[in-house]
Amino acid sequence: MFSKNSRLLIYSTLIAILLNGIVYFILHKEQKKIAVVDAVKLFSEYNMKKELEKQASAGLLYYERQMDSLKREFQMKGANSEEAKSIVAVYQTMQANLDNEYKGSNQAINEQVWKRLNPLLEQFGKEQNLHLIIGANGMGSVLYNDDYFDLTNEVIHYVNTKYENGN
Amino acid sequence: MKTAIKFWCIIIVSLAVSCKKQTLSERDYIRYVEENENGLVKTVDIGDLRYKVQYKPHDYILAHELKGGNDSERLSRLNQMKGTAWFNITIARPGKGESPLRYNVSSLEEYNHRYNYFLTAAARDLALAYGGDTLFPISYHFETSYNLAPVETMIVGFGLPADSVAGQNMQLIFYDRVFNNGIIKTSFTKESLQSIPQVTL
Repeated sequence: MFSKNSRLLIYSTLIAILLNGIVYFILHKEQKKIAVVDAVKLFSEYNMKKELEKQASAGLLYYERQMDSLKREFQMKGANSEEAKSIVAVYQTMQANLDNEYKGSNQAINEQVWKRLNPLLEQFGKEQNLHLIIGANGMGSVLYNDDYFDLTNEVIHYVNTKYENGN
Repeated sequence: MKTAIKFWCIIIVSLAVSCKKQTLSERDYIRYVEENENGLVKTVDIGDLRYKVQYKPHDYILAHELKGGNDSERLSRLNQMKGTAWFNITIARPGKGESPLRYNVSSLEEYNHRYNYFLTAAARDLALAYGGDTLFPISYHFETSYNLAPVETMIVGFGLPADSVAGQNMQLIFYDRVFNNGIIKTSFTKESLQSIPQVTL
């Protein structure tokens, strides 16, 4: 049906396609898989972090309300009265307590969140057969990357699913 | 025509039989509830610690409490538990022989602080998301092992808003303030709750 030359052409085309496929497969397998994750976005979007902040804000709200009450009392007494001076002292103590509470809760939240995220990231990397995950924190660790290596949204979805279902 | 009727009768009877809940002996029932595959026990590993949350159906609780009890005792106890959901939350360090209360503890004061937290304050850090509601414990007990076992157990019960037994998606939430592991969540699907077999006595 086909002439000898046509058959030759068809066979050589098929062999070329097959060889291309084999070479692509080998190269793809050997290629080091790298991912870039926006660490700041990951941290902010992690559901546990949002819930911990909500819990911590309840305690901070107490100090803020106390300080608002002191401000109102100060305004009523007048700036030059003796009582006003003691109110100022109490206000400053409460401000210091609020700052300490804020720093302490931030630090605790950071520690707890990364304690949970780090093993999840490792798990994610293994499941996706990645060799390296780079965390871009906006401080120069990653100067530029296009969407090809960016797996931020996938990682956020992964860690939040694990968190809600138990991990 | 007769063949068609017989055929459909067989199909209907087979469906009816397959839809009936499985019935197990007490020992097999306990094993069913405690097996990971059946979705009634969940494990969360964080660092060196393992949190295990066991949902306890009412028949499971009865199987442990009433050994050889009569029907009236069973019914009475079942009525007491109606409208509640119970969990055991255990904290352990796999492979280690000491209580997790001693994990990384630096002083007796710290140990006592942890112990007192679990005795009295931990109930405030437990909640159950059930259906669309968030429920808080109606009963809490810390089952101390007096350092004789490498696990510590919290037993917690919640009152269900409308159901006599748990039958909707639920999520147990525990904010671990002692070991600073954040919020631990474990989910139990309505399918696994509705598939719990019945127990033969």
